[in-house]
Amino acid sequence: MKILIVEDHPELAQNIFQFLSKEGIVCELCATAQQAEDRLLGFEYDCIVLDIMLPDGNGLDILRFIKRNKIQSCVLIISAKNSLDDKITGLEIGADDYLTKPFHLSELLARLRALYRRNHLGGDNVVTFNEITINTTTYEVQVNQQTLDLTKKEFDLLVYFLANKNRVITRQSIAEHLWGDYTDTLSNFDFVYQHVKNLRKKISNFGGNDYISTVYGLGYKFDTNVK
Amino acid sequence: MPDNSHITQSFLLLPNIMKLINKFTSWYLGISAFVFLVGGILTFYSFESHIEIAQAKEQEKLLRHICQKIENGVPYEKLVREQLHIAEIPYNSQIKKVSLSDTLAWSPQLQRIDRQIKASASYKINGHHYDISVYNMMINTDDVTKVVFESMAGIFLLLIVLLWVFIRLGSERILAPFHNTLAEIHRFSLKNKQAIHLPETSTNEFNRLNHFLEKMMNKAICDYNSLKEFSENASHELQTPLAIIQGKLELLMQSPISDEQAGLILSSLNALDKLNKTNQSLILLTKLENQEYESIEEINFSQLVNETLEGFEELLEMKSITLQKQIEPHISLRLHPVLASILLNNLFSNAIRHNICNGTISVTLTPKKLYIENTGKAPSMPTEELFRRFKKENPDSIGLGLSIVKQICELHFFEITYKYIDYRHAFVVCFKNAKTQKEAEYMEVASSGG
Repeated sequence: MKILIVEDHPELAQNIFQFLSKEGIVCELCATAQQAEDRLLGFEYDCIVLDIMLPDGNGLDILRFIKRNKIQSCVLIISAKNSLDDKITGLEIGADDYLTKPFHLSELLARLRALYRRNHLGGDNVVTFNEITINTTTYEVQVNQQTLDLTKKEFDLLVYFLANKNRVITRQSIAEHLWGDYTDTLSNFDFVYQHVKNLRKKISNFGGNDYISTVYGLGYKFDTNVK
Repeated sequence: MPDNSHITQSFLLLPNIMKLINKFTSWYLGISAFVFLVGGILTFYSFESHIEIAQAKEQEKLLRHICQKIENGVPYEKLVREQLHIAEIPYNSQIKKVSLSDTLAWSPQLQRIDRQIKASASYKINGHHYDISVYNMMINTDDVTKVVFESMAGIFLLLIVLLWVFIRLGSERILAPFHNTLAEIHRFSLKNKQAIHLPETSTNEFNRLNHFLEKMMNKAICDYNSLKEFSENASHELQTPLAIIQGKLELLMQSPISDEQAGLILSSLNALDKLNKTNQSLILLTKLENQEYESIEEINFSQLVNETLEGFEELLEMKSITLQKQIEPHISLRLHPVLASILLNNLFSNAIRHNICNGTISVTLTPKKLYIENTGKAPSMPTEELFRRFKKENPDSIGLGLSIVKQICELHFFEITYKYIDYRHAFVVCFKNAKTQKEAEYMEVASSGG
């Protein structure tokens, strides 16, 4: 996967760059709208991570530029939370997804993977890892060719884990991924624990490896090296 | 005109405008009455003196005329009449000049005793000396008074009639620019970011008012925009560093670290999360205060309540809380969908957070109110402080949830109350006081007008 990160703040861009690079994703950075448009005309990207506020223009204009030039890349907008209008306008113009700052990098990665699957794998929405097979269209999960009965939340959780293999994922980011914006009032993460526990149990019941482990007090990790 | 707000508005304002006109009119009538009174008195005296002078001249003329007749040889006895006395007096006696006096005498015309003017003089004609007296009726003072009073009263009456006509017809025309200005101000909204142009009028005061209002509205728009810009920029500027810190911590988390370091990262992440949420809530509150959310359409509130409760099902189950709900279907409210879900989420999660194990929550929705009751420990702070910012029971919460709820309610003229009875917290949101924004504005105008 090759992506273009259009973000004027170097540190933020660097965070994304580092996180995604470790996944083997090829990232290119640019800090201005001008640079971005030049790059877009010259190269092809699978995905564009687009900040709305740029020093020399608005990210939405770049989005219009992308649509005007019929560039096929999918676009994920990242923007400050307070601009509800930006979100609506962005999605109307044709952005594929929208994340508000600050976001969890693991969330960004999961979203990018989902977009990539949707746009590039020709409708083949099957993710396979060892004995686990997930179909993201039919919400079907198989372990050792046996269909697992997962709830919607458990399914989302598994997809999230697979998008972030071998990474520590905090309970916070899981909660936000599963329940969206309104986790702010839910001060404890018992329910995350509950879901992870159920998921682990269901996978091992069908003879799957217990890939998910607890890391320090921080959160969880989908560890591919578990035997 | 699809929007009849201006008509309604002028109806509401009409009593006030009439008062203004009445004020002018009563002052005007008062001054007029005074002028007419003084004018009447002056007219009366000047009438009287003029009449006296004219009468005296007339009498003198009459005397001379009689002299003429006698000179021409008419015997004086024949001239004597009711009001004319002629007597021959000794020739040697002194000639009397014309003298005037008034006296009471029987007036045969009026059949009453009346004031009469007497002019007498003596003349020497053809060797004889005559004393001639002429009587004439004096014009009665009462008559003069009556005439003056009647004419003054007539003019005053005409004035009142014309004034009334003016109030009915003219004042509407003269005050039309004022009505227009009021209607325009009423239509003015900061959110439109459009200054209203008030047309020039032919009245100096209205022009000054319009200029002042235009200046004020432009200033308000300018201030509003800079405030909005500031809050947007501030949040963006805060969010970027917050996002950087969060990213760095996440990167750090992925590197090989010790348990102790993990604990430090976790604490930092938790604090950071709280900071993020506080920032976001404050931004939301600012936006609510700026009235940036306009409720455009009615939403199906019953459906939203049900959907939101479904979202909390898992959490309720995990905390072993029983939910009792009585939701009347098809209740619609004029509320921004985003605000509606924030309102419900905050209230429901509040009810879950301050609940006890194996507790209950009961949610009742009627067309008039939303009633949320939950079991829980007694609040440790005065209940009236509950809705204030950063007042919290639980150190883990940010203490803005209920302030946001309150703000949303105020924005939509809902009334929210809290009570703690029988170990139960009860929040009631009353919609019955809710008016559409326009109605509320009319009420404001009406109350300030009356």
